[in-house]
Amino acid sequence: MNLAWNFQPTVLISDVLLFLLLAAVGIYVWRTSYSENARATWRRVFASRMGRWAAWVMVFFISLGVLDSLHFRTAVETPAGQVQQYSGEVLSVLDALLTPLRMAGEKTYSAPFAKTLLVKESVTLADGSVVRLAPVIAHIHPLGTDKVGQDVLYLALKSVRTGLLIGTLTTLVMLPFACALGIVAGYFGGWVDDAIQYLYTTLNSIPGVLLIAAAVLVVDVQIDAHAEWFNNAAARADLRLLALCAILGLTGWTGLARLLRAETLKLRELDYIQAARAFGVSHARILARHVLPNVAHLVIITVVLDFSGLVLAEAVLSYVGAGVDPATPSFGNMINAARLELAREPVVWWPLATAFVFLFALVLAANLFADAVRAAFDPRGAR
Amino acid sequence: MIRYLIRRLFYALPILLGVNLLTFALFFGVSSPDDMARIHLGGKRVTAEAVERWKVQHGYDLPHFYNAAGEGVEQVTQTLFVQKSLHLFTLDFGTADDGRDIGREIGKRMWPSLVVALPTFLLGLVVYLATALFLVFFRNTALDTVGVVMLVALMSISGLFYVIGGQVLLAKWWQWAPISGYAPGLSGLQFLFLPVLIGVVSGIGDASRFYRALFLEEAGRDYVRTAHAKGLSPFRVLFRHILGNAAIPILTGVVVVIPRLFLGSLILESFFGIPGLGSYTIDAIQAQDFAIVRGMVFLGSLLYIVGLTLTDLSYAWVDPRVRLQ
Amino acid sequence: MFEVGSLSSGPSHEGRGVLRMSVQLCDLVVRLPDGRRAVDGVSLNLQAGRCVALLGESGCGKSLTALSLMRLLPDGVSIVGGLAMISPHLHTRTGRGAAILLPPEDGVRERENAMVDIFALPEGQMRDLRGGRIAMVFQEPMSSLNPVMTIAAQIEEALSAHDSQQTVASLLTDVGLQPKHANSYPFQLSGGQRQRALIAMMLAGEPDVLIADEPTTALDVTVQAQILLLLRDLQQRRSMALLLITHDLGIAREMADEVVVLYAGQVVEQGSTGNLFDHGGLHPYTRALMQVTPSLGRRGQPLLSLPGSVPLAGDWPQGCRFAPRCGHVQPRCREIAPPLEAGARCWFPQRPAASPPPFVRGSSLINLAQGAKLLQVEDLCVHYPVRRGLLQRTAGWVRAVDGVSLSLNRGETLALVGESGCGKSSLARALLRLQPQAMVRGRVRLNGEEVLNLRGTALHTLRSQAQIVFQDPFSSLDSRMRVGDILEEGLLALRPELEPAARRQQMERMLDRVGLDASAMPRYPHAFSGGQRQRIAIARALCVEPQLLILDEPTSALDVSVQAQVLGLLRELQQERGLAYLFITHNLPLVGYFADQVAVMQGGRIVETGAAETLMTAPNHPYTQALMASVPRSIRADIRTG
Repeated sequence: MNLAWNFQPTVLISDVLLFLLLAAVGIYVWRTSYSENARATWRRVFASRMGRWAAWVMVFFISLGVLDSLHFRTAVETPAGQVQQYSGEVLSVLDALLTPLRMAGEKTYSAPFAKTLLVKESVTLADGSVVRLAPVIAHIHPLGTDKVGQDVLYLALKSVRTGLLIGTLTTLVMLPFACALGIVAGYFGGWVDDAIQYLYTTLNSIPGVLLIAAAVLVVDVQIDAHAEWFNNAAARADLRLLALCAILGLTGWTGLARLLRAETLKLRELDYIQAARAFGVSHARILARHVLPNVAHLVIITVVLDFSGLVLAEAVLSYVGAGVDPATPSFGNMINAARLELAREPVVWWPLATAFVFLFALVLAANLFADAVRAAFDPRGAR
Repeated sequence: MIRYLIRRLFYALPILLGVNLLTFALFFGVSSPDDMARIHLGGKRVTAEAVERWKVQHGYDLPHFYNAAGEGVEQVTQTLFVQKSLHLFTLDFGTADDGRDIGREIGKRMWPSLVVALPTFLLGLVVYLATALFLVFFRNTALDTVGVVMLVALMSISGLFYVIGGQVLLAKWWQWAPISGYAPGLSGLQFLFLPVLIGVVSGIGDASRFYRALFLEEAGRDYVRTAHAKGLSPFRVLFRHILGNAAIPILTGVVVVIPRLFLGSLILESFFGIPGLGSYTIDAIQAQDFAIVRGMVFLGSLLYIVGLTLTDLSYAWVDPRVRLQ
Repeated sequence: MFEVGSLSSGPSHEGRGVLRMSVQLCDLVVRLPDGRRAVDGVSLNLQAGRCVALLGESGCGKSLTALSLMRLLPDGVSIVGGLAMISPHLHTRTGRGAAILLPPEDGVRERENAMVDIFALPEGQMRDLRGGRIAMVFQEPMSSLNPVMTIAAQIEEALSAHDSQQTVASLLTDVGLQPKHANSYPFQLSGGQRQRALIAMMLAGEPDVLIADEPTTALDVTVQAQILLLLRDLQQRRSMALLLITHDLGIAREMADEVVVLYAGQVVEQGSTGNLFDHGGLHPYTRALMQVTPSLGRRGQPLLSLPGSVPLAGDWPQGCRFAPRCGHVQPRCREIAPPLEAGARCWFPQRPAASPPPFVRGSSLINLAQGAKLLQVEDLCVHYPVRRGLLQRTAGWVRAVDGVSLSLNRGETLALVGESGCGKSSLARALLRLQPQAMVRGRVRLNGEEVLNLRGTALHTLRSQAQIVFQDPFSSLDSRMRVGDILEEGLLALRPELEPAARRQQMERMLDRVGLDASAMPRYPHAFSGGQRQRIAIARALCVEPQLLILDEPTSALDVSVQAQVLGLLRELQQERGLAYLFITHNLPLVGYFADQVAVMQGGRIVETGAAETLMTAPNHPYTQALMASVPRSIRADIRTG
């Protein structure tokens, strides 16, 4: 069984984006370490006990997501002399680490730490008599198993990546629009401002969920119609996830853009911008050197604040039918599947409870961290 | 006032037109009537004839913007854009895939939506404002700190859990109210209890925290210090001065959503089996009925713009700086 | 225990004995949220009918002292020491509202026992005290009134809180407002009217003590005098104690019976106004304050320059807190903190001089390149369009600058004087081509070259010839850029041909010239004090070697002791480089001290021009006369004698 060491790295688009994002954060940290100001601000974030705890929880979840984003395919036994073939199933490092959980599938539901399945089966004993009893199961599942016998803990851990991606990649899509349009509208004013304001008022006027749902429907149709784009199911699910992020981003930039426009409107009247103009510094340079750095704190606050909202939105969208691919492990899909299980007798509560605890921990940590960030970056508006 | 309203209407038109173009681009540009037909006829093995037949049946057999076959005005009017998109301006929403008239369906379903959404909205507003005022009154005390942490915890719970938890706890175990259902008139009150309660509770974290921040911002202003210096009681300062001034930003957020109450809540209605517009929309999304989704997008924008106009009017009502200029 | 409230109210008879409360503040200590002390043992005595001026520069703790008496300190700031004893006090002059603070029984006999500590009062009783016995007028009339309540409603509220028998109408009359103002909202009133309305509110509870925290700083000069006059009048008519907080020596001299000078959280000098101004102060700081204030009389003389700046709260040196800036410092001063003795907190109080040093009236020191015209402005207009309606049609124009003509010679200073909104800043921005071109008309020539239609490289040349220094040293430097980058910005834009080494050399030279050095370059602006930041701003402008420097209120955000340093620097630079200054200001004594020519601006037009000395002593235009009349009398006297 040394097949596990014989593998081919597989890179999904979302992996690339996630690592790009991590690299960007890395560059930010590196640059920050040179700036006294920014260092002091971040020290304030971690000064509060709440902020520190939230940060550690986030680090835990992010590590899960990163481990789950290093994908590979294992080799399948190939007759000697032929080109090595690889399995169609894409696995991640996290999958490999969780192999005991992943491989320990049962037939159907079992309660946490149960020794038997939840449902009884008719079993023919050696003496030919038929009795109904719950079959004994081979593995221990700390959080039980779901309808198809998958380990619930494994599912929950796998769902973390989806939540993280939606919370982060969406901002990646949103930021360029929000920053460029918001700052340009505020700085130049006039008809540019009018046009951009019209754009975001129009987008804003459409109920968010409906716009997202409509866009997801349309994209789904396209994905369904072009099965040839993907060479495996993972790539297809990945594209749907990215499409969802793109849609959330394209519909979600208006809030930050409005904020940045208002702030830029104030900044452009400030003396240091006037001084730069008196030196004949070009608009592009003023935007890059003076305006952008002075609205950066708003961007950071918004990105962190939006994260938790997006993770929660995924659950609702999946329920509405406009979320991620049903095959992608996600909290939304877990809740959706677990909803009807409460009506069963005996009650199957553990998948829902697990989803609740994981989602709550992730979102609560994100919210508390966001509060600490806001307090540190915007002492006036915080509390 | 009439002149003002007419002017607002002129501001609204370009926005509605923009929404119209956007949805048209989405549903007829990115996706196409052929795709629609294929979904509804099931899968890939659909003949071209079947697709054509479906399109004729549902009126999708037209060119997008210009009909060369038409005569005179019909060259422009007999197109998808005019028939399917611009017609929305006359509140003619067309027919759903199941052949029913969407406009009539909306007229019928908006009342159940309102019956649930309005009490949720009003009760919610009272509860959220009261919570926020309470916390602001005790600001800088342990009570406030604990309260804020609780609000953050409450807002970290997905709305779905509030509904599921409420149904299991209140309806199934404690049997306070029926688990779901709807009936018009007074007999329907028992069905309202649960969705309204859950609707209010699920919003408490976000909304109360938002209002608290608004109040705190006002509480830090100079005129509040003046009010204290006059020797007013803290209650009077809170209710007369802080609430009075915070009413302006609160109003912007609140009035704009009132017209949209007709649209109902997707989640609440679908979980509680309320035959409103929310569940109508969710069913349409799940059935991939593009005509209904298109209609609801337009209706939502229309109601939003009505809300914006109402907001402007209410501004003039509460803010003397607007009223007297 | 004690009832705080009105026993009898309504107008009392002339001469009848009225009980008036006095306040004795002892050893107040106020702590900031981070634990530093902002006020460190301040004592004051407020008595009916007397005005005490609390004098000091920014950050010395004067506002916090006042707010402590009201127990209205900002969140997190707390009183950690001291007493504020209040007692009924028999006062026989006159008074309207007769109100006392007494034990329920007849307590006049036991008034010694009736002393109460404000800081120990329960919050409920404190509320009766606020507005009832002690009232406070704040600095910012724009934000101190509730914007959504009418003036009448806001006064009414105070009346009912203290069961006062006065009426809104009578209070409005008392403060010089008309009955029609009762139903106005604050935004419908001017700054001065708002301040009057605020005073009316504060008088509603017929207070014994009125605290006025820089009540005129945010107002235009002509309005300032009216408000001060009103305060003094009210104080005397109602025989209140008035605690006037100010940074302006002239105001203190004119208004106060007693002056208390604060420095670094402590009282450094205390005495009757007459004495203090006669002998010029015992404490070196007080003496310095009197000598750093520019005026026409000091024209041509260098101002006494105090080194350094006011230390931050809690960042106080050992020994005497003024020692690092003191010109008479002795070794002992640096080791042991002096006590407040005989009116001054100083080991070596200055002996009152036999006579104040004579002010020699000097002519302008600048004789450099006189006569050569640098800037000529003819009929300059800046009109902002007012847009209305659906299509944003231009419905009218705001004539911010309406036909202004000026001229300025090389090496000279032209002061542009006017109140807020008169168009001074619009004019400056138009000269620098910072206004949209469509709004500007007229002719502006710099070195004979028409400025208003320059483009491309010619515009670049203009930008290196004319530069600007702004009022607020905090908003004029980008806090996210290093000082080096701030200085380099102009050079990069206007002198791109310079090698990096040459650029750096130029920057270092300019920093050195303004009294800083190259070590400032890698630091951020927040590491510098207000005065240092203003030096950086000056260096930034000088880097591109301009001939004309527009100074937009360059010292009005600075403490007076720092203002003198910056003025001295500007004067030196002018002499060295033959710079021409367009000096925008509303501070007339400063004009008298610093300017060669003066142009007085009102409503977008120049109403009077002339040489500084003649215009200051014999103004012609009524508006100029009104401006001159608003300068506190003591300084005016100084102008005349000077």
